[in-house]
Amino acid sequence: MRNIRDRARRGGAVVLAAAIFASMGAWGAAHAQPDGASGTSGDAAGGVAAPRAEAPHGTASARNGGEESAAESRSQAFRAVKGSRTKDIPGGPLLVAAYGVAWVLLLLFVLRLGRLHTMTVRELDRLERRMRPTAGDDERGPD
Amino acid sequence: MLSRLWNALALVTVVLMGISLYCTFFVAPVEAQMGVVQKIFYFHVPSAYAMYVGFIGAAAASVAYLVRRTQLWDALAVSAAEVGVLFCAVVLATGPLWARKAWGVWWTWDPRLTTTLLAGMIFVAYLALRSFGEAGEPEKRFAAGLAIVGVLDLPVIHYSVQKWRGQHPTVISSSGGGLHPDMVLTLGLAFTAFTALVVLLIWTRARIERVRQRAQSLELEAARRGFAEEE
Repeated sequence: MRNIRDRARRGGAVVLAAAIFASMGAWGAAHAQPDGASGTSGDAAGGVAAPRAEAPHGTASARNGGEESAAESRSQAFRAVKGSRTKDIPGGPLLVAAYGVAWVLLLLFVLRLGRLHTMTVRELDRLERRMRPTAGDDERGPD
Repeated sequence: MLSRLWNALALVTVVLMGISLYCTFFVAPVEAQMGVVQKIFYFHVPSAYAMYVGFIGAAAASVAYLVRRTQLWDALAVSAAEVGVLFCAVVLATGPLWARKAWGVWWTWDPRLTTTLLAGMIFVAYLALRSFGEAGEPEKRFAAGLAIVGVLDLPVIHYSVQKWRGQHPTVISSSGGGLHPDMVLTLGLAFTAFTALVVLLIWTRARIERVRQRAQSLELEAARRGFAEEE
């Protein structure tokens, strides 16, 4: 009985440790640096995303020229985005979701192990009780 | 003695996982192209490695079981297969979340993704076969054969990117572009932590399986000796 209690305590400690790591993971993901880097442009039809070649730093006149041409372009026509805009997909929630899923799966497996262990120990106890010789066994006895 | 070793391994695993998490979020730099989502890499890749360990362990123990026919090898095989399937599920769940940002799609029939899914399905079939009631000797032998067939898919997963030019990144292969030194450190720690974790999980599961086997043999013994089922 004491052995079972020790094992149960050990199982509880493992579950607790896993829960602490899950919280650490979620916290770390939530506090990770914001996704400031540029994304990639991809083709939703199944092409791998090629890195978007962007010049983050340009001269002021070039930037102004770019803004003017963009403004002109906007005023003259509306164009649809080609493929999916991976740049616009937020990375943070995906990271949190990935860590969450991984830790939940791990926790579920540990819980399953604990449950399986408890059931097996109970089954062993039942069998031992069943096979324990009783006072009346001498008269009755097994076959 | 074994119990102490198990405790020590559990402690080492907990500490290593903690350090690995710290390095993932506070040491490894944010990747320039993909941003923060690339940090999935530090448990997606070690999970794939842990899946390999599980599946190879299951196949090796299955071979040993077919040769020796001892219950210890059978317990090890089923334990390693379960842990392998667990990590395969982690890989298949985290991969699409990363792909959504990197490729713009949740899933694509890339050779590596497809062959990984296939390996997962083979070992799920293995576990399903084992879970049909109390697996007898023929079921165990058939399952052992299935594990050996399943492991043949692993080299296909590994070399699929090189042979069929898929979209999957190859940064840590010989043809890859390399990693930042802090990324290498974090990945190395993650690999170490996952090695300890996979060994700990297989060991724990195998211990439980051994107790189950003992309970099964006791059950048979009780039935043979005619002990009545208690009310």
